[in-house]
Formats: sequence, structure tokens, C-alpha cells
Amino acid sequence: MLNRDERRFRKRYEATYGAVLAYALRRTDQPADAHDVVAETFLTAWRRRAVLPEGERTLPWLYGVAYRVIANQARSRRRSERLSAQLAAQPRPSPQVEADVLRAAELEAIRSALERLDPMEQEVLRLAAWEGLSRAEISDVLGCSENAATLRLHRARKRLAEELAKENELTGHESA
Amino acid sequence: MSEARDPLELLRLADPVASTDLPDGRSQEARALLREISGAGGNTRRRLALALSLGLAVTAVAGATSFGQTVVRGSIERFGAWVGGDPGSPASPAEQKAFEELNVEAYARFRENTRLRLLMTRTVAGKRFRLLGFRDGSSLCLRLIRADRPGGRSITACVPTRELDAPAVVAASGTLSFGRPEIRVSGVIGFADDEVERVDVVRQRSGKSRAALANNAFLSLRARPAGTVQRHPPPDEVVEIRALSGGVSRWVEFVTAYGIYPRRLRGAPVFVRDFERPKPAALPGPVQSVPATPASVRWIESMEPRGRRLNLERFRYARALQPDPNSSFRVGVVLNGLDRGLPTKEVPLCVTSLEPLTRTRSLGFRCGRAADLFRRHGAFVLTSSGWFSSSGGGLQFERVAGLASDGVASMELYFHEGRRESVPLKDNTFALLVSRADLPAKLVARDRRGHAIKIEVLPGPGRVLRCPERSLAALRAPRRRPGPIGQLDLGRRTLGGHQILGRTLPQIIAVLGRPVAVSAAHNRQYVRYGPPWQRRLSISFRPRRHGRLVAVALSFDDVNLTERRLGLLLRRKPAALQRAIQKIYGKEYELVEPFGSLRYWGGCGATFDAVGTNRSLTFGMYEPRWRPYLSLRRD
Repeated sequence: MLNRDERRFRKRYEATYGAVLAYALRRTDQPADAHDVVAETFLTAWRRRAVLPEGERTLPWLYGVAYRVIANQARSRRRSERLSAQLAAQPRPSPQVEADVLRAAELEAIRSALERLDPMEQEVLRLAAWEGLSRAEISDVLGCSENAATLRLHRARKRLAEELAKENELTGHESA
Repeated sequence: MSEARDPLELLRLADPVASTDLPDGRSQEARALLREISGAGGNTRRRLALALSLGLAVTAVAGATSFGQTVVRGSIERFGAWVGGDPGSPASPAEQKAFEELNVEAYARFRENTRLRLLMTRTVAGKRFRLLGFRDGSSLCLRLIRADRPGGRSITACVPTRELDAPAVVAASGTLSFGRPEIRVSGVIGFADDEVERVDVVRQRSGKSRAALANNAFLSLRARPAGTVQRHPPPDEVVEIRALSGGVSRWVEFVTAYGIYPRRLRGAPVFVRDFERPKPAALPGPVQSVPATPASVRWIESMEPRGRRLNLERFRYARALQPDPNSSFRVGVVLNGLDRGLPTKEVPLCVTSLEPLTRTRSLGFRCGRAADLFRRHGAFVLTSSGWFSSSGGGLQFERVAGLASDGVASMELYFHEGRRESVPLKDNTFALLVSRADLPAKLVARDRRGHAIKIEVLPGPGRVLRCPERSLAALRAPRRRPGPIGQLDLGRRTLGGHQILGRTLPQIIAVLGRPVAVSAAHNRQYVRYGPPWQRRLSISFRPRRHGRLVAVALSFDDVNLTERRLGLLLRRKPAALQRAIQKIYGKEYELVEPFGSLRYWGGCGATFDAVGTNRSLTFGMYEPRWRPYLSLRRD
């Protein structure tokens, strides 16, 4: 019989599992690594279920944990491997990449531009674009003020735009 | 790609999982995980292993040449166990089978008859590890595996025999993990010639240890608890390797490991800051190039069946080519546009590296419209995109590979120390394994007349920049008697005689008085004490129990900050302050990050952990004005 605490955890787990998995898949090379990140994140959440925030704040809190779990892994990765693996057409659950190289080339240009930003800028942009978080939620994930998150996002967008322009110039990707 | 589009909108297009159906929280796999998590209980530190292996830490440099060290060269004949081809004993059938299974699944494969040899077995933290060796053409390869998981994660690295010209050569460093709570084993593998009597591996914290030496190979293993996300063990990376040969201890080339650490994780004494990317003129070899013609690869445009076909149904044309017959490495060349009916020239051409044993290596890493690729990039395209060696890895040898246009007749690498190496080139593809310690270098493509038609600088590994050894605070800052907010007791962790960390704002106001400023953002709060425009003391609050905001960090910028036993803190030189803390409070505070080099995130600092608590102490200077700070925080 589950107690109240466990029932509440289970409900939040079911509601957020997919989003946390997506978050991890976006930031790891291999699906297996992403699943490890998810496991570690929810294990932390389970242990700290008494303080797990409610409602809309649950997901940013979990992203914050996942962010740190991935950071822990990331320090021991070779960047070149990561870059390559991100584009691996076979193992990733992203059939579109393989289906259309024109699109793959464009995606590669975007990711390549993203990779040239500093890690914090990358994370802010990913959280905004891929997780669709608000500034307040981003600040929750990154442990900074909302103002700081807004400023970081503004700067990161600007930097990404610059890098995309450079990428365009370098590789001559055609307009999509 | 349209430049006018919002970068965030473009980034959304690049979301790797946007079009993927992911399992939800009620799926079978999610339920299985939930069962495992809820069964883990609160006391087990780490029931779920974080499968972090072959964790090849990103590196900063301690390259030989950059530090002016002398490396004594030897020759391959001195690796006696390998000269005959049969070092050690045959690997077990399970190890051989696991290797063959991985090999057959890979896009690029080692030769079918590759036989693994067992070079040595070592046990660390109760787990057996086996170092295997094999040949791949003109390279010798090492493969470190867990004895109980021959097909699992490994550290596998090859070294060209031409690079075995020193008494000892490191092939790779990396980590393998096991157990719950997780134990992480850091390994260094390499080759040692017949004259080498001993190999010592120096790690940051645990110091020097002797590597196992057998069959002209060496292996150093060190096990440590992996810790948790919240409580990381201090880093203990390999920083130096020495080989004793002929009674002389020699420095061994090794690109040391250091990653880009997120701010909140425990830091390390060295951080990558700048990558060495010299201008072409600063390196040997030609400095100017002439335009290349023709800017295409005719046989690809006509889709000749060269190399081996890659089984990729959706691509119009996908081939794996072997630029160097002495290496199993392949360059993948892919043309897409299967359903578009476009001429070959109009479809994207992608070039990629295909490493043996790696099934999931990228396809389409460097892409461009076939007709434009070389016009835009010049006479050759590298499979990496300018990130080459800009960050490091446990692997000590890096692949320079790519696709050259028909105008290229030969390619050469000019290393910064003056050596010149010819790059194998076949079917317009090229590849050469180079030592990371030998970079930066210049890759030059020449036409049939010998003219340089493209020059590209391959950057060196990251550099560690030293912090300035100067007083934390300008000595001209006026002295004054500190008030209660400037009187610290590191032993009792009190301020003005009061416990502050863990207290709520009303409790703090009751003892320190009203702050001059209070700001709040979301579920955070910050208060400041001190005169206007100065931040002598900032206190950060975060929600803790029952959502109550409690003080989690005290940050001092006050140059007159006084500690009960150490006196004025921020007027000292960093090294002196670090020593003083270690001397006076050595039992209470453990140094986890010495002051020494610039951090990736900026500034210089040292971090101590308060022993047996969740508190830490950091001091240092912020860039660019080198403003001093000291902070006490609780996790």
C-alpha cells in the first residue's frame, strides 16, 4: 500500500517522466546515457520527495537535477565525440535527420553554432528553445535570478545569431 | 538557413527529440524505473549506477614541448614483446568473441583476423580489469576492460608504431565504473619499451603511484567512490607521468585531463581557458596558398562504387573509404537526395569519420552542397569542424581526416616543433593519427605542381593560465575597524559571534540589524550589508525546509574582513591565505581546489570543504578587476 507521499511522487513522476527523458536525450550522446540520467534524476527526486516542489515548479526542479547529473557526466566526455555522436543518424530516435540530408546539414549548422557558445549560453538556449521554459523557470533550473536568466538568454540569443551567421558563411548552407 | 530567422526558432528546428515518440510516465520502462527507484530507499547512496564509463576527461595541457621538456626518443625495436607479434597470452574466448561482435557491428572494422592478447590483469577495489593488446596495421592498440564485462565499456586506443619513439608512450586515460554505490576507476594505459624499469603516474591528490608494467605495456588504475551529484569527491586527475629508464626518470608526453566544470561542481586546480590556435605564419611550412582547381570530386559526383558500401538505405550513395591501408579507420562519404530527383551536384555531400568498434559514429558531420563544398571550404574538408583538439580527451592521439578535392595531389602536416609528416591520401580521402601533445600543427594540401592550395591550422590543446600571485586586495585600501559584519570565525562559522547560515531573514535582522538592500527573484532572496555602492556582505537565501527561505551563502567583499585567528583575510596573498587556513584550520577545512590557475568561469579561487559538514569556504578574485572575495556557503 502506497503512503500519501509515495502516491504524490508517483503522480508527479508519471507526469514528468517523458519531459525529463526528452531533456536527457537532447543532451547526451547515447539513449542509454539518457536513461541513466533519468534514473539518477528521479532517484534524487525520490530521496528528496518531501521537498519536491509542487505543480508547475516540479519540472524545472527536475531539470535542475538532471542538469547537474549531466554536468557530472559531461566533464569526462571528449567534445569531439559528443559533437559526432549528436549527429549519429542510426542510434538516435530522430529519423528525420537521416531522411533528409539537406535538413541534416542545416541542423548540423545550427548545432555547430550552438556548440561554439559557452556551456551556460548553450544551456539557457536549450532550456528556452527545447524545453520551452519561461525566464522564471530557467532561473530555477540554473539557480540564478530571473533577471540574470533574462540577461543570459538575451546575450545567448545574440551570440547564437552571430555564430549562425558565421556558420552560414563557412559552410554555405542553403536556406531551408 | 535564413539569417533573418530568430535564432531560438532555428534552434527549435534542431531539437533532437522534437519528432520522436517518447515513452510517457505510464510506459512499461517508466514503471520499471519507478519500481527500482522506490525500492532504492533513502539510505542507499547510489542504487542506480551512473553508467559513466570511457569517461575521457576533457583536457588541459601539460604537453611536453609547451613546457620545454625533453623527450628522449627510442625506436619500435625496443618494444620487444610486440616485435615478435605475440605479447602476453591469448585473450579468453569470451573476450575475443565480445570484441568480434562489436567489430562486426561497426561501420569501420578492425581486420577480421584480429587476435587479442592478454597483457596483464589487475584488481582494484575488488574488481578485475584486463589489459588486452592487438595490432591494427601499423598501429599497436590497447583495450582495457572489466573482466566481468568483456563486451561492455572499455578504454580502447591505438598508437601508430612511428609514434613509439620514446621509452614510454601514453595511449589513453579514462574511467570505467562499477558497483552501487558507484566506484569510478581512473585508468591510464600505454606502451613502455624494454628499457623502462618503472612508470609512475602522478595524480592531483593521491600523488605518485607505480603503474603495472608487463609485455611492453603499462597500466595505472585508481579507484574512488564516484560520490553523488550533491557531494562530489575532490578531483584527482592524472597530471604527470614519468618513466624510469636507464636509471633516469624521464617525463612522458601526456595531455592532462581537465574539463569545463559547471560552477556548482567541485572545481579543480587547473581549468582550460585558452586554446592555442597560432596563425599559419607562426608555424613551419608555407604561409600562403593559391586557389585549387577543380573544386570537386568527380568520382563521387558520378557515384563510382569505390571503397565499401555503407548499408544506409535512405541515402543516394554512402561509401566507407580507407585512406590508409595500414589503418582500419575509414572516412564515410554520403550523398543524399534519394527522392528529390536532383542532379548529384545539387545534393548535400557529407563527410564523416568512422572509427573501428564504434557503431554509432556520425554520418553527415561536415555537409555542404556537393557543387559548393570545396568552393566554400577550399581544397579539403576536415571531418571535424574546427573543434579539432580545441578540447581534450583521454585519447592521446587524434585523427586528422577528411575529404580532399581532385586538385589535391599530396598532403602534409607541419608540426610546431619543425617535424613534417606526410598524410596518407587515397580516393580523395585522407587520415593520419597524430599525438595531441605534438599539436598545434599546420595541414597543407598541395597540387600536382607542389603549390600549396590550402593551409589549415590545427589548434593545440587548451592552455592553463596561471592566476596572478598578488595580494587579494589593493594595499592602499584604507584600514578601518570592522563592524560585526566584518568579524568572522571560521572555526565556529559565525559572523560577529552569530550563526548566520541556515537562519531566516528575520532571525538575521535580529542580530545584524537591517540590511541596506533586499532583492528577491522568484524563490530566492538576497540582502546586502555595508555602505551604499559597496557590498561588504551579501547573504543569499534559498528555500529549505517547508519552503522557508534560509541563508545559504555569505559573500564578503570587505578588504578589512577579519577572522578571529587569521586576522585580516583579504589583504593577504592567495597562496599565503591558503597556507594559513590549512595551518590554523587544517582539521576543520579540507582543501579541495587549490589556488593556482584561471577558472573556466572566470576569476581565480581556492575552495575548502568544511570537514564532516555540508559547508564550504571559497576565496579568490573576480576578473577583470581582480576584486577579492571570500564566501561561506552550505549546500
